Amino acid sequence: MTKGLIKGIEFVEIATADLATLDKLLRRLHFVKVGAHRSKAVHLYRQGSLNIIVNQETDAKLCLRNQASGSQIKAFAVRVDNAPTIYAELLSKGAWSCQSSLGAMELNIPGIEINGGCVLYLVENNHAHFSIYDIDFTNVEPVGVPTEIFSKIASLSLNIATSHTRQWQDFFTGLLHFTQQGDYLLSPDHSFRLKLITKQGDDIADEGIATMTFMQASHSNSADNQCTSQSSHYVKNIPAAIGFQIEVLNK
Amino acid sequence: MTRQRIILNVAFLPGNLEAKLKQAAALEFSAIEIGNTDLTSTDQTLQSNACLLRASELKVAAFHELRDFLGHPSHLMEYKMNLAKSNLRLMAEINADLLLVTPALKNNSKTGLEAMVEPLKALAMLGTVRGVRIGLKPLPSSKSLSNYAQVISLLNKTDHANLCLVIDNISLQNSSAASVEKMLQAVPIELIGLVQLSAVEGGSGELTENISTRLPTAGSFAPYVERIITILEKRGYAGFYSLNADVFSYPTFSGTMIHSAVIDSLHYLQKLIGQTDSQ
Repeated sequence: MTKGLIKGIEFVEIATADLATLDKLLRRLHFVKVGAHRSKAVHLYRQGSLNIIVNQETDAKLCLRNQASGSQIKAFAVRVDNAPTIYAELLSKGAWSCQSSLGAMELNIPGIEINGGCVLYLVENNHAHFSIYDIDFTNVEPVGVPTEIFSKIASLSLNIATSHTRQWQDFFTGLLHFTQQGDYLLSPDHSFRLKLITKQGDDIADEGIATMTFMQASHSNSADNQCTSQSSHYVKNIPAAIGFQIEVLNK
Repeated sequence: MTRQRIILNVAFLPGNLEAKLKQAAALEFSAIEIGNTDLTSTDQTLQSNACLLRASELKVAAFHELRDFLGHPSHLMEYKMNLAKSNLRLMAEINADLLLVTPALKNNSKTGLEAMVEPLKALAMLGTVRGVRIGLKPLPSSKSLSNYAQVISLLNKTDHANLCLVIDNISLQNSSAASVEKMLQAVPIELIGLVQLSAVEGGSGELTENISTRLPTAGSFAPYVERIITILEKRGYAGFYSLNADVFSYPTFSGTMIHSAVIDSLHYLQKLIGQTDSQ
């Protein structure tokens, strides 16, 4: 993949069997629902320029450890120039394509498989001309006053089976041109990082995206943000059914 | 602990996969090496054989093999990659750890080492996502990958943590003792994914493609088995040793006789490893 063509994270996708619980958490984090998919049980939440797609479809829920309830981060999308070319290049260099169930007239976003069956989507960096969300989503009037407490998604933590850490380091550095930065892998455009967390055991069924880390917005202070504790960067009191953690980096 | 590190290549065992798995379990192996033909028997579908494997308590430590993979011109590599993906999907289904890969035969070998780096790296990437490690071994008749020096050079050039070396003592038969010693002492231990051990049927002779092999035992002509175990154990190798034999090695043997042959081989290896422990 040509270096330097990742232009940041476009969205994170969360699969859920319990929309009510996840919706409550997202609203607590000041994300508001701004879109509903035209034909599927998929919802778009937003805070400033940050997008979270919530997917209740059956095929999405296959990734859930608890398919009766629970939510799991199953994918994230990066912005790239010329997604089709980069996608073809990644496939030729050893990526597995990720098949999504597309309906007629729906946006075909190419994706490759990463750890734990999660997906890395490639979104054309074309915001100047149109929004990718306009094709698949209808607008939903957001409830409440928009508040931006986060400025960006700073990192994602990936659970990796014990003996596979070096393989995944080589995957992200060799295929996607991330660079090793201590415990992190820095994206080619330096806009976000991935952290590989080694889990006990060799079962790749336990791999996945474990934590989403937000950067606190510069105008936000601790009085506005009721979610973070003074002594921890992790958002407290997340329901057990939510299968991932939220971390906040103070600016 | 030593016992758990010796696995059995079930290819030579008689019967269908179910029979082989029963025999391997009866011999108290916890892990096995299996091949394409073990899964594609005429009496069971691939899926049902995969189910049998998952249901057995035996770990599939290695799967042989993706043949004729490296050394082709680029227009053939897309086809080879699709074959590789099929193999990897199957291995993920049976929870196998290691896919053995061999290069093209002499007649097909058109490309040099440098041209093999990208397809090998792509294979390593594919294997990473499926949790399958890729193990490379030379083929004596291959133009570009006929010996371990070339394979190690290729692995170093490709430089991917999902790649490893498979040491097969039979492949070392035509090498000089000095070069074998040098390779065993110099190869990074973490690069070795599997050691396959067998004896040559009928004693020493020139290594050919059609050489027939049997299980290694005390007194059999098993080139370099003792040196391999002595050196690698001393250097801290903690991986598997696979007892290997050709499919038609024991055609007239009864089940009891095969059982005895495997036990003899097992004891031979346990003794060699134990001797190293006590040094």
